[in-house]
Amino acid sequence: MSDHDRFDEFLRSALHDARTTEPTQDEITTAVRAARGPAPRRPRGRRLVAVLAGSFALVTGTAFAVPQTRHALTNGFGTLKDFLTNQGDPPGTPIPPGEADGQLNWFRGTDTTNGSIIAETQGTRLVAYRQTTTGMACLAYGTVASVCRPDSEWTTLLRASPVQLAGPLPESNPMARLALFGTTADNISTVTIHYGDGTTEHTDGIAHGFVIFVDPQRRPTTLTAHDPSGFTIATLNIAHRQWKFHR
Amino acid sequence: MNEDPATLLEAYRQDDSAARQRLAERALRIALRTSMGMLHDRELASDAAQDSAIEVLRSAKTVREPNHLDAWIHRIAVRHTMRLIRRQRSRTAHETPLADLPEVLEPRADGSPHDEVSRRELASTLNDAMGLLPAKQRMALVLRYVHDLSHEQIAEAMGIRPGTASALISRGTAALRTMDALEHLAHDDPGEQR
Repeated sequence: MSDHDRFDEFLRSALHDARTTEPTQDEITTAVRAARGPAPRRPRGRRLVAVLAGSFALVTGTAFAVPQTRHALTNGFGTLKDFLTNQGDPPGTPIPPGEADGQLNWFRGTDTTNGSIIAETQGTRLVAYRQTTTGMACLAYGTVASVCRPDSEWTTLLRASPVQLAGPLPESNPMARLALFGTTADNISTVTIHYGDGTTEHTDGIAHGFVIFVDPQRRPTTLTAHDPSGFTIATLNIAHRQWKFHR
Repeated sequence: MNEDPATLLEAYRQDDSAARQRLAERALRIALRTSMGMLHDRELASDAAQDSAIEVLRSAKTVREPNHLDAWIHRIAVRHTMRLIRRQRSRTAHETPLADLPEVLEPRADGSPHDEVSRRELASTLNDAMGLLPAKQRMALVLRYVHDLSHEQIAEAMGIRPGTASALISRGTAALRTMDALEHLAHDDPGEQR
């Protein structure tokens, strides 16, 4: 092999990822739908905004959203938004009596009667509650972290994106996966994790939020959120999250 | 990808919904690979590819020479990718980018961690080096080494003369070869790095 050919081979090998990239079914569907409508362009994704809260990163993913749903998205958190902005009760399921004590360290010393389970997977919960000492609305992520914010901050966050992500957090489970938490706009019913190896995992039946266990070995790349008809509402880049957590 | 373009376009003109999906897939595949080679960011690449695919779907019925379908898609993909690159340049000038978290290289479950790390190091080094080249040189290299297009096809996709395409590729590869890191990597056997 000549030096010239060797360099050509080297370039092709180094560009392997670009040479083998394939569109996802979601991308195909989105393009087909957008090509039919009068307003085909997706707004540009904005970069993720990282907010450090305690010992973990709460990351606000800003999404690609289609123009016709933009208005709905900014106001689409419904009852969860009402709760977080102090205008209503939390959605979800009340924490069963007797379970609150010890379930969440952050509940100790505070009134746990208003805690509500937004989502639960394999015993790991996303809980909304109000801190009695400060009056702030809070989200508790499993048993390891909680974030309380003033109403104005929640309002700003919920307006920024139809999906708010937190984590990953080191919730232990038999498959050594990491928990990714999210709150979602009302029109989102399914989220999908896309991995670098081309596989995907769907979580259906979402209402206001989710808890997903993600396999870092398969290099998670994006999270997409969909409405009940399967239309993609948001796409968040999760490739650069720290998929390794040191206790 | 091997589907005859004339057959595909004919079905698309008949409003065959399956053909519409296949044409979208074909356009997205070409555009994604071009934009991935240029941008190295799946999310941004998807943006450019979506715009390309939408234009392809909206205009495909006007294509006169079905055998030139892929060349036409390449032209559209090049235009949208270059447009996004220009937009990114102006945006990064006044936005504070998110500090990238350190990437964790996880070994694959199939037991080939070293292969994966090598490839990613290789790609990362080349990406850094290509980032130093002018955008047109990079685009010519991407069309050559991602899509394996001939100099004539590259010229058609970029809307330039074949001689200009040859010059862009020649200068681009020459510039890359002068970079120590790439020269060192290229002299290893590529087969060993896969």
